[in-house]
Amino acid sequence: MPDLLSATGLHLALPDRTRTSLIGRAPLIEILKGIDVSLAPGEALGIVGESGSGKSTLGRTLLRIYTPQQGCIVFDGVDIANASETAIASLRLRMQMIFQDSQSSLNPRQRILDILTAPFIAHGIASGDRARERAITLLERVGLDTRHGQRYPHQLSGGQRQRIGIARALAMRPKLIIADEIVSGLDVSVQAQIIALLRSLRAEENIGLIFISHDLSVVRSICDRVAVMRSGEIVETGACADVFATPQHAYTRALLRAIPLPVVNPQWLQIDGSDPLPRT
Amino acid sequence: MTVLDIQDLHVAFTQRGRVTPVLRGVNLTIEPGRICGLVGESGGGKTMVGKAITGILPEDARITAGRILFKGRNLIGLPEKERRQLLGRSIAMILQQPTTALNPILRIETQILEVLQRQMGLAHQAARARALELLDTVQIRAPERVLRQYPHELSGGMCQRVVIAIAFSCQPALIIADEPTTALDVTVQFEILRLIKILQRDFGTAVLFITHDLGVVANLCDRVSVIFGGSIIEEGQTTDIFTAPKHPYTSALMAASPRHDQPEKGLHPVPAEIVSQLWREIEEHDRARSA
Repeated sequence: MPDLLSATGLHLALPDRTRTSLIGRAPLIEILKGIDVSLAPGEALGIVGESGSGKSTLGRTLLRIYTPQQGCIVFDGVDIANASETAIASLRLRMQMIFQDSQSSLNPRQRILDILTAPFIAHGIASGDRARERAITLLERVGLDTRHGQRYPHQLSGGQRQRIGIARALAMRPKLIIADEIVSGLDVSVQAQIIALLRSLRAEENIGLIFISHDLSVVRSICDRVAVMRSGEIVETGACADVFATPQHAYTRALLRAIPLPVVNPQWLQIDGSDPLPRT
Repeated sequence: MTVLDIQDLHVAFTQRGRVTPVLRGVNLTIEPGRICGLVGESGGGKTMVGKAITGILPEDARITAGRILFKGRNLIGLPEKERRQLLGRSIAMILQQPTTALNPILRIETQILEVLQRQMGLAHQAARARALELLDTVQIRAPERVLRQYPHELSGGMCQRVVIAIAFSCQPALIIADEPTTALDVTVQFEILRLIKILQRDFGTAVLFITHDLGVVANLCDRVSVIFGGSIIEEGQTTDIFTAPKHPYTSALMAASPRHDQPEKGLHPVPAEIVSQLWREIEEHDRARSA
């Protein structure tokens, strides 16, 4: 089966805003240094890394929010890295993004129901009561109901807003969803609910998922494969079961051992006697 | 002697004449040189406990009952001058955002020296020498350079090291650390947790470690208190709590925590009955108190 998404040799450099000078342009800083990723239809790929690794930028580049300087991105057989904006506009319906900050990605002046009917109306798929019905169906699919539809984003909890983000992404029956840190900042109990929801949606429909997260444990529980990023490069990639059981790269091992598990382990902090730490 | 002994602490918000309790009779003790974890989800009141101890409650919140004994002395109702003397000197804080804890327009040197000169009464030269020593203690490799820098020139992890250096600078008896590693990358978090553990051991400091992360508690703390709805629902030795939690909410939180080692054991949503039962108990408690 051909890949749903396949990117090869992605290079991206963006202006370094911390070094803007009064004359001339800000110097470019290389953020993605030759990235190859692929995703089969219905597959879930986790992209993990620490801050500054380029994982969020990669997610945005795969949707051509940023245009890479080099490389190609083939989505559903079309090279979107080099296509015109108009050519990719229709493809965008089939590729959706969900963001970490559900508060700022939802219009604060619109009721939830209006937020969810908007895509149907905008794309001429349904209007009036039909659009309303569809929006309510979406709400139910993410575990909410009509009552939530009457509220404004600020009247919902963080977990409920994240469900709305998911509902909106599902509206256009996408083939691909890119989720960027969507459970960070949520309480563990809410995080567990959102993950359970994503799991059941994946089981129902053949949606490809790129799950970007700093949290390897969450990725382990939802993804089939994982790619570990550091400084704009993928240092290790493979099936989750393999990478977590036998990480090949030293950086992956360092990341895994730094995660505190909810199990008492007196050796975890590696403090014996008074051995000094390396100076940073 | 017990460093911190919180007895039946009640805190309530008053907004437009309506009183909403946030802490409903918190009991918590910390022995010298021990790390006590205060763990719970958002809205549980864990941050409010730290704020009540240091007397930095929001304007519309006030302590309605209880005692906060620091080495036997009640901090509630302490004259402002005495409270200020205690804070910084005997009780220090480490917060989640190291960049906000530091003054953005002052060099690191100015900020550390201010504390050492005012609280420890050191002269400029002695304070500077002590500051270099402290930065070395928190594993900063180029202390001279860091002293000349401004907070924005340092990474989040480096800023947190500076904050830790300031917190330990007066060798306080108690440090209140509120989510000090939550904003940091996991490898940086590991180094900072390790640093806190080594310093508290070497200085014999008691630490109240406030966090949402059960993984951090399991690996760092001697004792743990689980907070929900403004009261401690379970308290005990860390090993006991993690091997045999007594309260169903504690076990549910553990089952909700992600586990990369055994994925099937983690990320189980907290059963709704457990939470609704807890809220029923809280409502009963509130009714009984207002009656």
